[in-house]
Amino acid sequence: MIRPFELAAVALALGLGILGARMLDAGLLFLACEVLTLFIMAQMWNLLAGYGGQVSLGHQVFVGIGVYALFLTANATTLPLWLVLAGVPFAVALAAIPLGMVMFHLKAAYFAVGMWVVAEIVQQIAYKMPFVRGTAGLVLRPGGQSIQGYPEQIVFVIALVAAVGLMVALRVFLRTRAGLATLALRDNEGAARAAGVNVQRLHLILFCVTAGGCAGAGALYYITTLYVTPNDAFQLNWIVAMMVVTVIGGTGTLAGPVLGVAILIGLREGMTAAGFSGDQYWIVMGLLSVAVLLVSPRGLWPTLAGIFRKG
Amino acid sequence: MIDVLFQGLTLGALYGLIGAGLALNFGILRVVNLAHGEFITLGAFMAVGLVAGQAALPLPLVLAGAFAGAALLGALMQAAFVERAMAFRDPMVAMLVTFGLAVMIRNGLLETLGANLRGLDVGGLAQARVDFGGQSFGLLPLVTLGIAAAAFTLLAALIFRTRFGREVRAVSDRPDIAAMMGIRVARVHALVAALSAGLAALAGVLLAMRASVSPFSGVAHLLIAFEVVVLGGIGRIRGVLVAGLFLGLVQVIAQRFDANAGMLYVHLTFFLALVLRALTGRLA
Amino acid sequence: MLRLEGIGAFYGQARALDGVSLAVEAGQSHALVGANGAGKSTLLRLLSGLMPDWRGAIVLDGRPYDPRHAAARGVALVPEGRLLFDSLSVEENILIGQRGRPGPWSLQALFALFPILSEKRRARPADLSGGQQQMVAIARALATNPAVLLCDEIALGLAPKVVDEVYAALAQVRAQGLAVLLVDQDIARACKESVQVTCLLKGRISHQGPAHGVTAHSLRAAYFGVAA
Repeated sequence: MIRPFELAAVALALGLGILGARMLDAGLLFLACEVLTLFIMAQMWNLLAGYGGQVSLGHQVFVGIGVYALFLTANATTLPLWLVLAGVPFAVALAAIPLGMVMFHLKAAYFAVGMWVVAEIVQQIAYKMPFVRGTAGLVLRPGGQSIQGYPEQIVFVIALVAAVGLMVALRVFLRTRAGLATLALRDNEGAARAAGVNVQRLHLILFCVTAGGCAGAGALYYITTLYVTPNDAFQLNWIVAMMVVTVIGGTGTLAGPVLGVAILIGLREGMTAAGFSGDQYWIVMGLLSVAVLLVSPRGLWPTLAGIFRKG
Repeated sequence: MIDVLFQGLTLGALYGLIGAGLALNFGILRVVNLAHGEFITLGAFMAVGLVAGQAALPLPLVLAGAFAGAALLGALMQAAFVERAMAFRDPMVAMLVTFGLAVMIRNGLLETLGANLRGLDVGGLAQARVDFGGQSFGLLPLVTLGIAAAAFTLLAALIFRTRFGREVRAVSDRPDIAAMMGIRVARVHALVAALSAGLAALAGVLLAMRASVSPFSGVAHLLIAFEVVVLGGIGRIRGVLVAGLFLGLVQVIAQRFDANAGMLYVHLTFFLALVLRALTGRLA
Repeated sequence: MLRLEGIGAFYGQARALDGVSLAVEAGQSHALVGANGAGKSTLLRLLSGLMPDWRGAIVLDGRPYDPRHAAARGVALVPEGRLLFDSLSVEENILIGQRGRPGPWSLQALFALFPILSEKRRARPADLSGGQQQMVAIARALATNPAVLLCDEIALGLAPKVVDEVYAALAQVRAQGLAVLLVDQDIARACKESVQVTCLLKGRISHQGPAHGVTAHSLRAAYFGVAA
């Protein structure tokens, strides 16, 4: 079960979140929200790809669905925004069940690109829906009212607690029976199957959990921007970022995405400050992920951890 | 009606062509090359560049130039990066490497050329028409169809009739035994990657003569190529062609009813086929 | 023709061969016998360049031999389980072996050795009987015009009459001056075909000597590693 220091970590996150929300300026808060939501998405991708062995190139679809589920529900009803936000991951996870059951008929690379096709379909259908308002975009107006004040203060607290809580929850999960089955699946799918792990069901659970997680993180992120278009919510860059963060940081390790997000955002801020363009930044990230894959295919974290252990 | 059919077949032949390149790569190297769409864009832009530099350049030379340029880059990419990634036990590593390379190429194109749409100006060819059996056909689609048909025939001949094709199939079946017999496997892989990239570039040039392309077109074309391969089957050149023609027809017919649907109906058709196959349990 | 000195081989940390020395002469067969896991297939794989991690010295034709250049130096393997190219026809499978090394084994010569393959030249391996598949595997190896032929369980799963046919072909091959290293479960059969015999036990040589008159019974101590 949950250990005392893990509980303490969540409590500490809550405290630091409240403190940070009061102390940090708007720009830093915005950056912190982005870092934290991106971390949650990458950890989700890692859970499915790194632990479950199912590489998806279409998880940006859940980001987009999460955002629109939040914006449309909050705008059309008088439900409190944060209550709607809490409901988004669960609704999207449930909706992902039938999709998962169809997509799991595709194996490996077929599944990966098949998910990408799904993301394209959903994005283009979203364009055609009148209530999404296409390229004109949608403004977040909960219950028809404009948001007052700075939502990123609350988003920051939620995101920090969610990110730390996710790490704790995954640690706890990996100690349970289902968690041990997941680890067995990561290390050797055939052996896990032979040992009686219901791989199909586990894949479906991981698929739905990661769908819900990406949806929640996406919804959270766009509360700070208050505005969304399908082009933005469903953009390929979400999945590129999830993949790059995990691959560079370390697939199949909990700490990998932490390291990955630090590198991704650190490099971006550094390169932007040094006057490099966004395209140049992505060229470097692409090169970096290729280099890491070729030198250390499980990512930097396992390699670094190995050096520390030896040293 | 005949016009729609004709247009669908022309577009479908191009879809088949880009699918054939991807299928070749997947069938022989067992790697889904996610940079395949980028080679299509690259081919189109190389042609645009060639025509901009030398307006009087005849079409065959433009095609050959784009083919050669993409093939060279494809071979280099395979030899320098993908081949090494293929040594790892997990086949997903090689696919993710191609994804990283695709991100690099796409953003490289954006950086050098910007996000603008570009078309390939083919002068009088675009308007020229020929009458055939009381029906008037555009010359450009006819030329496109002819080139695609020639490319398919040559590809089939290369794979099934030549010594190189024999070695390619042997490497695909059993790379270790092929290496033992003295076939240089990495070299065959690089040549296959070159051929695949070259075919993509060829299709890219022909696509750019029909409609404009931008650095963002690569993704859409990659997905089309993927759908063609899944529906047509790997290692079945004829299946790939038929799947390409089918999706091309879907695209053109859908466009009649909904002009700005993009590739939505093509993707939807593919997804429905997938659901159907999933329900009947008939899946690769 | 081919001489091995103190060969060791490793699968990761596990030692599969240790201090194996033997010689195969032109026009002769050398039988390699031993229980499952004794290292016979490992030795043949090593000589074909399929084992990257090995020690020792190998001399072929008086010059040092690097297994990575097996095909060019004239060492060919008929692998256990045949491992044919499934999407190539019989004729194409054989043609894969022709890579410019001069020698007597043209397509015509191989069809003369195995006339049935000439009839089946357009067929796929999957449509052939086990014996015919074995003939394709031998023909494919011979097409490289090797000086040394490595045969791994070429009789496994074949009817006795077909085994006789295969070994009769092998005798013709030896008559052309090829050196043959032969692995067969059937010790008596392997020794009947051979001049020398080497028995392996857990990666080491447990018996080496003339093959004449050697039977499973006379070899059982070396084979099982217990006092007779």
